[in-house]
Amino acid sequence: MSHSTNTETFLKDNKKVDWHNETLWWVRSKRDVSSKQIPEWEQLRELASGIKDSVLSNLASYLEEFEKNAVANGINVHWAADAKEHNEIVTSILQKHNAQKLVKSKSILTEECHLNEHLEEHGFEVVDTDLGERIIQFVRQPPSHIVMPAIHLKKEDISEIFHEHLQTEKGNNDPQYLTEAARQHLRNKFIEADIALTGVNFGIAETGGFVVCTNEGNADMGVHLAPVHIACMGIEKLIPKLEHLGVYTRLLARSATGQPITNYTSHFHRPRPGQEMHIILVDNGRTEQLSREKFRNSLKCIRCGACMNTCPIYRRSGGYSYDATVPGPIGSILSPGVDLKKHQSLPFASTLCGSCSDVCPVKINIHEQLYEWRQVVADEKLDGAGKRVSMTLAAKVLASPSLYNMMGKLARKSLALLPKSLINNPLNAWGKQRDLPDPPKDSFKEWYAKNRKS
Amino acid sequence: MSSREKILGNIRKLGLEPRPLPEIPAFEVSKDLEATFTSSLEANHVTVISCRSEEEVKAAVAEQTRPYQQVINTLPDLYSSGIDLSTVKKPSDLRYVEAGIIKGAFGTAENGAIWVPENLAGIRALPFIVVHLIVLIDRKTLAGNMHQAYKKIEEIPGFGVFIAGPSKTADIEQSLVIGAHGPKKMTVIVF
Amino acid sequence: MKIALFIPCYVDQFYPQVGIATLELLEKLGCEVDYPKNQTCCGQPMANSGYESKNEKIDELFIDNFAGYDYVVCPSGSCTLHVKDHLHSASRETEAGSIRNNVYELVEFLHDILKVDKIETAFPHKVGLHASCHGLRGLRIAAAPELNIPPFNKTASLLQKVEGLQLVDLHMPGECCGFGGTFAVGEEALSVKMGNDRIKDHMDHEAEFIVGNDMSCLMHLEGIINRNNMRVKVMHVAEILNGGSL
Repeated sequence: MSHSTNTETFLKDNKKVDWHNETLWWVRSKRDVSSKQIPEWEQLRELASGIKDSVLSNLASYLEEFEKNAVANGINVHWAADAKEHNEIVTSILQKHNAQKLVKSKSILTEECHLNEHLEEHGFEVVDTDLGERIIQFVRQPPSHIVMPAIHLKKEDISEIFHEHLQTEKGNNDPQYLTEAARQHLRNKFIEADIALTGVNFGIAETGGFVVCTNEGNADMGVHLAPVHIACMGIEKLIPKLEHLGVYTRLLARSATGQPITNYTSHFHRPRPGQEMHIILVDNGRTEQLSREKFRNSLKCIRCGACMNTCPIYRRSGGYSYDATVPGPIGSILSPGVDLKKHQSLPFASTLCGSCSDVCPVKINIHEQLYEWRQVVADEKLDGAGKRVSMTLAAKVLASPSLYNMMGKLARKSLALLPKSLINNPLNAWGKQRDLPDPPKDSFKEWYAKNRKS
Repeated sequence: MSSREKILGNIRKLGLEPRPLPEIPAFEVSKDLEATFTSSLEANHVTVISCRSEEEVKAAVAEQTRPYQQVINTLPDLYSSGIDLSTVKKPSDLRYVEAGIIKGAFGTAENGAIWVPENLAGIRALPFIVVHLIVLIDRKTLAGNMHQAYKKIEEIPGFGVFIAGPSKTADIEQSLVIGAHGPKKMTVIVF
Repeated sequence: MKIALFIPCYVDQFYPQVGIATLELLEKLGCEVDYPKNQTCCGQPMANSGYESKNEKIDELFIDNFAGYDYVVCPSGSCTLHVKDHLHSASRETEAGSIRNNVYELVEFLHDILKVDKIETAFPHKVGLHASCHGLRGLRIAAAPELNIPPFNKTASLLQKVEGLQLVDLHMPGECCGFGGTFAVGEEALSVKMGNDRIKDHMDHEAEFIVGNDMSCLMHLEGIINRNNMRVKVMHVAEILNGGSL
């Protein structure tokens, strides 16, 4: 289904749309305040982008360096070409340990790979431990935002969900009370877990370690209690050196929520005595995206979600309208690379306002890439014959001054003659909720001919 | 062909020209590191206690731990009672511990982040599993920003964490709740 | 100084008064202005729909019309940006390049090239400034609110020279109005929602007029305003600077 169709559904509840819009705008505003306290903010963005340029241009060497150092640290390194292989690697580790129960902190990569479904099919228990993710896991929904997965739900909805799944008091909507209930429930899950799985925010080539950022501490609760830690990392998440974390840790949380740093920035280099640590390096379309020059730097993304919070479309259409693992502007330039046919409407789910590019902490030119994907959609003839015919015709008219003048006059005349009811009818998308301008008698060109001597 | 070779091969065949790494310049930091450090922490729901002598530190620790029965302590010189670390067999033994006392390696002024390598945490799970985390920081160690902070990490531990505040979440309608999974309370004693 | 006036197609056809105001304003400021009569459109509607490849002839016509001038001035940030970013020619790339360099949105031209320091007109009204996205973040006519750079706003600085004109503060000053070219029909429901939200912001701050550098955004907002008989009006910045009469 196209973005516009999904959006119409979301827009039906105007009050909720306004709430969603204002809530995310509030997060964007916090980001503005926080970023403006750092005089070197724009310089940091430039550095973050430049470091990733170096990573992407030299990715194979950095991956090898990372692997060598990680292995020397006692970490088991796995390589997965695609989602299927990634999921099989996770399953094989579970099987090797006769593990049944897995706790998992937030990882968009595992969403992309549909790991939970895969593990459940194989009879394992998977528990998402990020509060937002646990909420939506109860109702079997995907995240609607990469940083705030349950932002589409109101506290009344969450209270209902917890009442059903955690036996909380019916009608108690207090976030404090609901969070405490989740805390008690998840603490048991942490204690019982056989294996803890995390995502990776940054992998460090120079040291062979990786960094996981959370506010809840759920990643750490999982991995420091469980006997096995599996970390899943997209190959683009590498940075060359430890010192580069200085740049990214200053940008990430400020961009995401406006806080100066996540409360926990955890650096993993070796398993604790008796523990086993695995890292899975996943391609799943990333090397293909790397090969597309115009879209290459979409791989710089550090998943802060700032482009979602600022996007006037996302704020009013909700995460599900994108029907993709990563919603919002960045998702709309990543997803067409994965499945162009399915996601062909996403590059058009934008006014090309450019706010996404200006908030992006790694300076991805998101709106320019949306424009470029539109060209690809048209070149591949995915957008329907009707549009192609009308665009070809329009280009013809606009390339000829005489045709243009004639058509313009005709349009103005007929608009002046036609009754408003005919122009502003529901079949005309412009006129459904908007008037057309009153057509003037003379165009500027005609006025000029009468009023200025050439 | 293994996936490793496939992935590396796919990248190499693109023949991308390696781009140089940018130099990170030195940025200006706060002139009063301790004041900035303190206000960063306080803005993030951390109680900060400033001490000028060992006696004051001991008194502050005693005061902070007074309400609790179960205290885990990595600093026997400062606090004589509490659970002995060596008696902890597995991390989940810490499940019902109310308070934990640790020392941070250094603090960072711009965001209050305190570097806790695993040798100072005693047990990796400790800073996360206790209800009230008490961290001691020597005011002479403060870094201005994260660039300076990473320069201060000389030896990379098997595990190390920057802690900037108690466990928190805003996943329910963006309402802030302190104490999602880990500490519901955090106190930093600057000495 | 040879100046060519580029009047976007929809301004030519639907808002000739904006073209007239632009021309008169430039003339008042002492400019000699040519209006190349064979001009049509910059090709943006096709390009933003994914059909940049169909624009070859439109680009050639644009070069026919606008090559050889010191400046090309246009009362639209969006069309100016399109020319700046996308005008190319296989056979005349040098000419294309110099047009890309010399094309200016009207306010940019007044502010940066003519360095206008006095506007001899009055407009005693409360005005909300709609910063169209392509002017704001493409041409950088004002400091985008997302960036940590010293604030500036070329449009506001000109409007502030108009006697009696009072600019109102807005809740979301850099927010898109939802026009977006074909987005306005392709995502009709969302486009209108965005437009309504924009208008509400201006009305909540008691603006009598929504003023902007792009008639396309204003056409969209005006369409909603007229349909719902709202009390606010839209006006192009050229009309005000030229001495807006009501």
